[in-house]
Amino acid sequence: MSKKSWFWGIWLFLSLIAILTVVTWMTIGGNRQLLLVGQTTDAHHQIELACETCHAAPIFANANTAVKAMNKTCRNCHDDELEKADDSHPRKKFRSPRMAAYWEKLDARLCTSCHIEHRPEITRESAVTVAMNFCIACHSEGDQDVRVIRASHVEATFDTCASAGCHNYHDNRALYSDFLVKHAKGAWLTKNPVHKLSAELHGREISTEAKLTPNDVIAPQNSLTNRIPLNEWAVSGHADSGINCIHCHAPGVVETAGQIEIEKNWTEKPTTQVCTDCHKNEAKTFQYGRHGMRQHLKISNPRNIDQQLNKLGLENVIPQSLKTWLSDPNVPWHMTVAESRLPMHSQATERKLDCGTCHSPHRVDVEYAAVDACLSCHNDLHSQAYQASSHNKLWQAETAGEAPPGTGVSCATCHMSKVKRRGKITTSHNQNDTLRPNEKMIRPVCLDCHGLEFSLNSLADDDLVNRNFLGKPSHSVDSIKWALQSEDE
Amino acid sequence: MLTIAESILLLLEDEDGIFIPTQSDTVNSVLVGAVLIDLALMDRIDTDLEQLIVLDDAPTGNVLMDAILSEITANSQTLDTLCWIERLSSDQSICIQELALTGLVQSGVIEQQDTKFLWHIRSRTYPTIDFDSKDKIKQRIRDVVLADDVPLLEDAATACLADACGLLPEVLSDAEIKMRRARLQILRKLDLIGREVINRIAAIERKAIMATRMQTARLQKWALVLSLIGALVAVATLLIPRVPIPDHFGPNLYERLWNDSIWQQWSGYLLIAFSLIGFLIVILLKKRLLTRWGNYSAWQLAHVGLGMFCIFILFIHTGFRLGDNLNALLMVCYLVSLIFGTLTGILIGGVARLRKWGIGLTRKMRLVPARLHITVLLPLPALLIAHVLIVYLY
Repeated sequence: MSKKSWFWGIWLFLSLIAILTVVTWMTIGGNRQLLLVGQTTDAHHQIELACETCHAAPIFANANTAVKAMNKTCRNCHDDELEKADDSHPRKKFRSPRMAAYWEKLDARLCTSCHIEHRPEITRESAVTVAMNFCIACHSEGDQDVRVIRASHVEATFDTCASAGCHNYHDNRALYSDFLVKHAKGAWLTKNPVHKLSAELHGREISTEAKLTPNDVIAPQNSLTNRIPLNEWAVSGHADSGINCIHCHAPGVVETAGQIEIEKNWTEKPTTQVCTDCHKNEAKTFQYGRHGMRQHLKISNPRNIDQQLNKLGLENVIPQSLKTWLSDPNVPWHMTVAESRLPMHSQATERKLDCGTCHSPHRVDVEYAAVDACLSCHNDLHSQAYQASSHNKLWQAETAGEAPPGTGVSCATCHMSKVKRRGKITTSHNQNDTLRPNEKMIRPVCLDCHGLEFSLNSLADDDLVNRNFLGKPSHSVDSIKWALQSEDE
Repeated sequence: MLTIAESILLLLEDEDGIFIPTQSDTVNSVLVGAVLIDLALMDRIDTDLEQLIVLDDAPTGNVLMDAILSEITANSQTLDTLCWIERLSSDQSICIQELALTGLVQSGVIEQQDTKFLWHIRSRTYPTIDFDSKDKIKQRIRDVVLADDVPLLEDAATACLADACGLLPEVLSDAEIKMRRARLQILRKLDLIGREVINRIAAIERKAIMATRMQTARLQKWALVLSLIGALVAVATLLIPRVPIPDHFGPNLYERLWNDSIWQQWSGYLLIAFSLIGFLIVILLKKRLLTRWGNYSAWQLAHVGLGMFCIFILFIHTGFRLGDNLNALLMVCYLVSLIFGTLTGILIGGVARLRKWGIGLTRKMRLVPARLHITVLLPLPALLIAHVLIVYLY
């Protein structure tokens, strides 16, 4: 063979190897970071290597099937949230053939019409990938023309619908006309500015019937040499509610068990599983939020390389070293602070986010978890400004016992709202409940202390948000004024 | 032993069994001259300044020599050597090159191979199988040029004719040729037929040069202009920021170009198609399969034009966006290759101007960007297939 033939032969061989590698990564296993066609949105970057979570269609499925499958995966995770938000544009509304005329303009049956992944250039706030005046698609003509059906909107332009604090596409629970009219007259501060659910939770009588003392501990003797954890536990809610050492360190072992059995089943560092066994609601909501979304049940697991190879009959043919290389990267179940895209303190980057990150396992100090834990990682303008804010002063007064429960405003008050269900109040660990768009915060949080107009204006004022609401809003949202005008007309 | 004509023809062949491009008239003249020298050395003809006389018209056993000998014998006119060279080299009834190749095939020095490029386009090559013979010819030429003693007439004639065909750089270095220029002048004067061949070639070349100079200059000018524009656009693609997508809902061209999957597919496949056509032009040119439909420079210009069009479609496809990960690698690979391609075009198109400015570039130097153009393209097929698979599988 001539030199040329050798050269082209080697080139062909290497090209085929490269193509085969990419095909293998895509269809069998391997790190697919290199195949990402663009930066993943802030919402999904934590799960970007769990490709099958969204790309659920079978390989070589036609475009229609692929789009349908992808949109189904959106609903897998976000349907509950939209239902809770009383979605103003639910999918079912647009599936009716009567709406066919609108499908061409903006197909609201598909999430991907407005939210496309891996397109950072056109990704706007809330992962919207169409221009923000998208309302023009349906509300600029016919019986849906807002400039005709609402006199107040005659001169309005469509670029301000969603950007001026007036409307959201999905969640308008605090923005619809009747609600605006009903709350139009509220003063900037209510007569009794107390966050009711917080007040109820923190002001409740705690039964001391089951309270344990250090004398009641059930643990191997050699584990009790360090008194610090013991003392922390003794003043914690766990001790108050009768949770003994073995309940977490040796789950499943009965209190009457002997020392040998306890020692045999003792775990120095229990997993978060022991927390989730009791705090089910907190654990459930944790996986819906940014801190724990990797644990969401609908996130696809890494592909099992043995299973994948078995389908091809290659399980016993491929050497172990190659199998290791072909395995999907084992993305940690817990997100680390370093992976965050928000500004964080450099000393916190090594931290991984699980229950113990915010809740010291023995002290279980909810006051620490409500503010200090947050500020030990978050380093954005809003977080930096908290210490100087009025909200913090109120929080300090409450924690010092100088003000009644529910009067203080911690990070958790706004971002981890309280939920009352069947008479039981729990803290939602899903920050998304009140995060974006920030008008979601108005009903469960802001209105307990502030009037609607003040809340709307404050949340629409980005500078004020960055100052952690230190001062008065300079922004004025016209929606209440317009709603009142419409009411008069 | 090979005849002088066979030796010269063998030197004209490249590694792939394809013959180095030479003006057809020139090759024919050289081959006719070589055959006449062979016949003279065999005492079948004799020449002086005024005429060429046949001494013995009995067949020699060599098809080409016999064809030429019978042609001369059959003619009653008395002509001088130059006239015979002109007449025989332009005589369509004698397929000089084919007959010479047949002789080489019969001698077992080369073999005839008929192949089909892309299963349809027929291509005939004559790869060498007896490399010793070729090496010996080169060594004989080296010896006769580099030595100072009195050469054998056939060796002097072979060197002389190789020089006439521009084949000496295949045997000697540029420095050696420059140094032995005086010796080559002496060799040319040793043989009358050889001298006449050189005169004939000089006349042909003068005519050919005049005819092609204007066309080549025109084509080179276009190649230069297109390449300069292409280079600017390719560099701009790397440097200037992407063209933004307008932040306004509703149909707009940019949104369609860079977001609509149908438009993206059209522009992408067009890009692949035009890149493939450009690639095919180069391959077919190399295989000498296109010269019947236009000269070399015209096809080169077509290649440059396609490159330009590819840059335009690349803009349509990407809007100056480099992309991420594998896509970025593909884009950079394609752009760098385009830049080297345009640089090649600039050197080819601007060679005359560069010479005017005192910048002389050897053929090897001109080939550097062309080789880089090809080298950077090597990973392109794999990256392109990966890109298409990612788009369709995810």
